[in-house]
Amino acid sequence: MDNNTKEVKQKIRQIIMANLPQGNSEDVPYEADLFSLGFSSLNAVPLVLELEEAFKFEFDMDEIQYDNFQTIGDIIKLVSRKVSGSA
Amino acid sequence: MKEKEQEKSLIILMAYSVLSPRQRSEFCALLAGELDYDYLLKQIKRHKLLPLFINHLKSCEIENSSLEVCLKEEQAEYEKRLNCCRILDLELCQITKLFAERDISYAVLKGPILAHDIYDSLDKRTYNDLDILVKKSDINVVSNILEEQGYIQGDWDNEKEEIIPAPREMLLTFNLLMHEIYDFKKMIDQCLVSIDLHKELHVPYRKNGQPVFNVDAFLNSSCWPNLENIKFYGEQISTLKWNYFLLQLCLHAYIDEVSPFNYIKTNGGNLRAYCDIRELILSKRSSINFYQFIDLVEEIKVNEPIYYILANLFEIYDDMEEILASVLFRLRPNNLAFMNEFGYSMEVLGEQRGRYSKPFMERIFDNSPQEDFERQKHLFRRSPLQSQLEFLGSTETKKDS
Repeated sequence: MDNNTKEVKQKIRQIIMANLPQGNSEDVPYEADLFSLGFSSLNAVPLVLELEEAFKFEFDMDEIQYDNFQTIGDIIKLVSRKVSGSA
Repeated sequence: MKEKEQEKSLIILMAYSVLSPRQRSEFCALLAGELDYDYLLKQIKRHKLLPLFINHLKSCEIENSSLEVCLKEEQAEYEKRLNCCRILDLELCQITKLFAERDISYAVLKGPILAHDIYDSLDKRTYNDLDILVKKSDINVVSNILEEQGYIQGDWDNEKEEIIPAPREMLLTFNLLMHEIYDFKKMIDQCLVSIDLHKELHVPYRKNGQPVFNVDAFLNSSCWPNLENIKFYGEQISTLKWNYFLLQLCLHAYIDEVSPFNYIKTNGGNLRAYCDIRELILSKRSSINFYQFIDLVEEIKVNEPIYYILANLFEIYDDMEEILASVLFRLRPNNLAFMNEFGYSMEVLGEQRGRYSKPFMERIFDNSPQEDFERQKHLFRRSPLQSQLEFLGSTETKKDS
């Protein structure tokens, strides 16, 4: 994994953790269901805005759905695709 | 002695699209009496009955200068609205043609279908916007089509005299909290055309954050039995098959009456919604299979909302017994407490419900729904949510069709 990709993933994780209800926790695995950790639509709005601001893109409305935001891994996958321009 | 009985009787009569000779006599006789015009007009506006009132008025040869004065402004608004509806219709023809060219499945909902196919007269049923159901997977393409046609997701600014694009946060909030798409708007000949795209039917609960009714599968081109083609200005446009159209109308009416979000906009529902449902049932009686309708309701588990609306319909209109009695019998839940409750299970608001202080036939004539909500607002309050509620309540969008 090159440093650039690693930095992008770390940045995405940082933003997600900052928007989780429990606050920052390094122990949340990539495949943990965020909604079972208290994540909801209310958290999703600022999360999406922060991701868009940080990486200078806009999600399409049909990308903002449950399946793409269920886990940290899902979000990293989607954002990485957007950043690389292949989404 | 109960207050405003004559005004209330008039309002109920207004909620019939066609009056029988006996009803027409009663209507004209009530109009000839002493009435509280302020109260009457307030209720007519609240219940969106102005078009029907004006139409019924034509059949009464009454010289009532006080009424004429009161109605002068409303009549002008009505004429303006009729003109706007014709512009909306032209836009609808254009847009649905573009959808068809790009093989996009859609279903036109509510206003235009009700006016042109159910009421059979634009004069009786006007509308403020166009509601179109599309697949979630087509939202992007459809949004691009509308933008190409000059539509903007935003709001009209009176001072600047232009449509100001909605901020990104607003677009996301509508999508994520309300599961809706922010309106698309365009000004045409002093008429603000608003298009409301829907990706869900208004089922008032979700399962694991997902809608229970899969609109994408429903609108799949292989599922033509779910859609009805109707003639519209010499062209064909798609709407829902009448069972589904009835379902969607009932669910929408229910949400307008019990959703705290919608209280802010609609003051607890309106009689026109019930008039729409009655007209649909009567005009499409031979096309609506009520056994299949009941099966559909039970399949997606919306017995309570549908029973709520149809039971209230039964209370308002005395000619629905033959059609509705068996439907109500089949759908009747064991516990009827919900008939006097508002608020429902939502992803954001949770399971809290408030109680109305008055029965249905009393609260449709006064402001008790608003007062009931204000009094029990604490049930729905969560600190991160309160600002969102106020934020959403302050928008001037999402006018009802």
